[in-house]
Amino acid sequence: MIDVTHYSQTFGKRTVLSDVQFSIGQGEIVGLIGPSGSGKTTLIKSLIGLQQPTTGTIMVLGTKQPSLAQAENIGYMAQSDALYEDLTARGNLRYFGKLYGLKKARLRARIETVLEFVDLKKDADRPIHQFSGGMKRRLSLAIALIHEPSLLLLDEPTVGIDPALKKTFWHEFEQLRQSGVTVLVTTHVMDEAERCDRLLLIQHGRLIEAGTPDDLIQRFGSIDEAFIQKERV
Amino acid sequence: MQILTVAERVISQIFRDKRTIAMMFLAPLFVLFLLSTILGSSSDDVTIGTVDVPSAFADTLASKTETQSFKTEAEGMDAINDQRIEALITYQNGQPEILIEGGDVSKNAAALQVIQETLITIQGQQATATNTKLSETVKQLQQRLTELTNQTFDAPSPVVPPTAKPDIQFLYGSPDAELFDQIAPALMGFFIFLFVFIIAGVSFLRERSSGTLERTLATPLKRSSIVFGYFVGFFLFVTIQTILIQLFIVNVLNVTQEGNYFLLLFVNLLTASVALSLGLLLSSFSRTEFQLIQFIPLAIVPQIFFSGLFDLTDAPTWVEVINRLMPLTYAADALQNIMIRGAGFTDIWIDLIVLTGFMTLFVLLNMRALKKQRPV
Ligand SMILES: Nc1ncnc2c1ncn2[C@@H]1O[C@H](COP(=O)(O)OP(=O)(O)OP(=O)(O)O)[C@@H](O)[C@H]1O
Ligand SMILES: [Mg+2]
Repeated sequence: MIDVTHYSQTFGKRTVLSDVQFSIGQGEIVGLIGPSGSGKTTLIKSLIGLQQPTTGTIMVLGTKQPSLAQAENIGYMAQSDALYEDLTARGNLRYFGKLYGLKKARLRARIETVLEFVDLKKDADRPIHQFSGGMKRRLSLAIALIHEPSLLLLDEPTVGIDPALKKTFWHEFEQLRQSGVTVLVTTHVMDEAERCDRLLLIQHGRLIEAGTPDDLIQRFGSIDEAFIQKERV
Repeated sequence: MQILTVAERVISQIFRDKRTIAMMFLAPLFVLFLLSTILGSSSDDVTIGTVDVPSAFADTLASKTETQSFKTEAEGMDAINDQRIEALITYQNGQPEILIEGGDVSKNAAALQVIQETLITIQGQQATATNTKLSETVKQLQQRLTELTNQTFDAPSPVVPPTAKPDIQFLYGSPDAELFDQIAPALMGFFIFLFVFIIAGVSFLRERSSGTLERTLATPLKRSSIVFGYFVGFFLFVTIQTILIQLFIVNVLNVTQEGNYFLLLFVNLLTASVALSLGLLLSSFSRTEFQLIQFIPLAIVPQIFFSGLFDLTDAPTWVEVINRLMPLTYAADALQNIMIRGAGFTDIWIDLIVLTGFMTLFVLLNMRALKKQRPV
């Protein structure tokens, strides 16, 4: 699904990621963890094709990124909610659904399905500027799911979401995995990291294959420690 | 298809913002109305003071404008100093001496014109009088000659100077066309340019800063589709704006409109495309709305000077160069030619080509700027 070799990313003189190498197979939930500012969002953006890698190659679903070809197979949830504030929830879903090439009947059906899933049915016709932070987050996830992508790139999807809904989210991620969807999710939260099949840890511009959550705990004592004990990486 | 999706979204966003809609549609009408009233209310009526002028002169002058006669020159001077009169005429040794107040350009010009007309009329009258006298003298001489010699003598009749008025006709427009008729088409172009520039520029800037632009570019959408989607969306508003402005200035403000409405709409859409692509482009050089607005005094306001409001025939070369670099120069030229001279497509095609050139340039630069956001 994803194959990254010798990837590095530089902004001006600043190297954010260097010589990153990893691959993700189909039907995995992979957690991307690392301190703030370590380059998680940068990596996700490169996977979608929103920026040109400084060096190295990034293959997604068999296509070298950046490309337009795979955009319709990728569901993306940005770290900050990118929503049209003056449109309604339905308006936002319609717009992005159409851009992903959904046609009338299917578009309508998908909008209702994802609204149901993120529990926004009764607020669907309110403009976004009246939404709470959590509601916006849920709508962003709904948009990421609207075109039934085979790869989900979720940048901190559960920030500002209550525990009950977080549980539903993760339940849904696991269901998606069952149907063959691959999920890459960034997080700072430990209980989420523990639910991943595999973890990737970014520190000092390097990406470390940290194995399963259990492996990480063995190595550092706990996932929290993995953040703190930078020197041991 | 993607273009229409973007267009639809742009349209519904703007329609949800009632105040922007009102601004876009009503503000130009209000400003045009205001300007038309202001230009229409400046009067060229002048009062001319006279001191001891021949009665023929005084009568002729009085038939052309308001006059006021003074007994002494000092009284006249007081009046002109208080700006009660625009000019003072005194006669010295049978020659008129004219003093102009000089503070109000258009009134001074009007006063001068009235005085000159009067002098010409007086001269004409004097010439006719001389001619009549001459003819009479000749006739008397002829009679004397016949009496004395019994011979008839054919004297050529004296030449009468042509006093016929020149026949003045207007190739375009009419004698009562006002300054406002000339600048209304240019102003229409200016408003469309200004509003499309601001609204499109700010919308795009917001998309950039809120992340929706990036999110949109993470879909299979082509970079060009987002720019052209904006075009199509704004075409709707510019069409409505054009119809409103035209209905208003033609029916309410009685501005001359000789041309084809569809051609006019086409020019406006092209003008809007230039403004839109410039707005999108400059928005990528701004971090905030405030920074975008700062471009207005530099990029937009000078354009109004070059939109046919002022005659630039004697302007220095560098002004002429700036003039040629301003898109609105061409838009205003085309609009004026259509509305005043009834110009057709073949008369304004150069303007249209230049505008298309500006638009293409800005669109290409936009594509480049968007490349930063999505390399493919
Ligand atoms: N366009 C850019 N230009 C310059 N520097 C950038 C750019 N994008 C990101 N960076 C830098 O790259 C580094 C990594 O940023 P990134 O957003 O990927 O961090 P992150 O791991 O997602 O952090 P967080 O957990 O806080 O979201 C930061 O130091 C940031 O300043
Ligand atoms: Mg981040």
